[in-house]
Amino acid sequence: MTHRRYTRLVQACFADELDATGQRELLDHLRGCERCRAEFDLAAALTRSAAGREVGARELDRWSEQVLTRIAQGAAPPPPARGRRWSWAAGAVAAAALVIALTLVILRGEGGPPRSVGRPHDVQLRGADGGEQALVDIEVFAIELHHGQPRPRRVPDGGEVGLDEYLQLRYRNHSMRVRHLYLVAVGADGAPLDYFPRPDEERSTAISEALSPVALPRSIRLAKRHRPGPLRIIGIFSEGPLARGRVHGALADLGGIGEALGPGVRVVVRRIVLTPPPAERR
Amino acid sequence: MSGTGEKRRELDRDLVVRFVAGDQEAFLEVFRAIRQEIAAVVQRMFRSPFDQEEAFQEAWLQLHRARAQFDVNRHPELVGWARQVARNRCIDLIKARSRRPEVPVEALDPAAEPSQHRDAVGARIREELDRFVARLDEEQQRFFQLSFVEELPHDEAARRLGITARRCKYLKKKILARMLRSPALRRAAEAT
Repeated sequence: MTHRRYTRLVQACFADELDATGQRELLDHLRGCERCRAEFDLAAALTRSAAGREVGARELDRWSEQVLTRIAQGAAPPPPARGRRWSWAAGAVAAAALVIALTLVILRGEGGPPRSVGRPHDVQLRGADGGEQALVDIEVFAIELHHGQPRPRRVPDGGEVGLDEYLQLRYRNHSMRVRHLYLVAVGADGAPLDYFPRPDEERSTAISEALSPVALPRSIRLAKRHRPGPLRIIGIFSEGPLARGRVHGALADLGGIGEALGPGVRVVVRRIVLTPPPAERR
Repeated sequence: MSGTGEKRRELDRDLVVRFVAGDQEAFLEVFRAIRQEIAAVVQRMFRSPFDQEEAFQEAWLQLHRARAQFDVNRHPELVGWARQVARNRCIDLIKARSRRPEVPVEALDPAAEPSQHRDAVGARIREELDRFVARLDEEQQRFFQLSFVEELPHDEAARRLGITARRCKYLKKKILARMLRSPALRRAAEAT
């Protein structure tokens, strides 16, 4: 019975149906089971022969995703002392870039990229339990202006953000296949608010792999277009570009959005609560 | 270290400096640039695709850990160094498993060409695959070409065939299951 189940998982693996959790489960089983490993090897040999290559492009993508996930999980610690001088230099450059970016964004009436504040968490991933094995992730930061100075803070799932603040979103992408991101929010009224792409663009935004979280290039001013109440921020990661109409159509059924948009689509949902500005609260 | 048949590739010095300094983006760039080379190394060392996948991961984890040890003044040699680190990691894995190397001659001589025997076996699988495909119905034959041969993602194959992506998934699993059940294909593949 177990072997039959894992044989099905092997077939699902080569049909690109397994998420990171499923792949991990399969590989763990194969380590200790000669019989299933032979089935896996056979499937790989046949698909490679069909493609006329030693290692197929999609097989290599799968291997790569496993590597990047393991590195991001800390399987390989950062290099020691020899790189210290460069690390300091890189740190100084990064700090300067952060200050400049925040200043510029504030001058334009927007927030800036916040500092990293630890590991991502609370991820919902289609077909997986999320958590550390997720290949993609969205992090939410709120940036409030305190005497004209930006103060970023990480917003956990279910956390509150004032309508007088700015929202900064960051993505992480360990997948070699995912190349596009569509970020949209849905409030209590159910109407979609497009974050990325901009309202005047028609297709999802191109992204690349990123071991560390990458701040999206502009922040969202919550005083515009938003109302108090719950807000779901939905990150839709895909291999190919997604058109606005297709995404909005799929939003009708949030639970089945990944299925509706086709294979290779990964969906991350973060929930926050928008609160009125302090003046209105009083 | 490198044989006569080995192609020399050089990466940009600035990229190598950032890679050695621990810059994650630089690591990703190097990863993208030479992952195929590292895959080729593990393939020469292990016959089983499962072992190759494990060795590929281990080799890259080792490269990630050891990147600070590379001397940036030798930046044109980064690719060769990476291949050597991967080879050493593979040898460690083989020793750890107390197994004989599965392809010992090629493992010890990275410049060696795949043997005539492997070519002959590959030709036999392809022959059997041709016979297998001829027995599929028309939709399955077209899907086989797009998904198995051209390796298109499901949504692209679905678009070209005018079917749903879900149907593509079904076809992929169905054809793969048939391949695995085919005694002739199994015999040919197992000979590898």
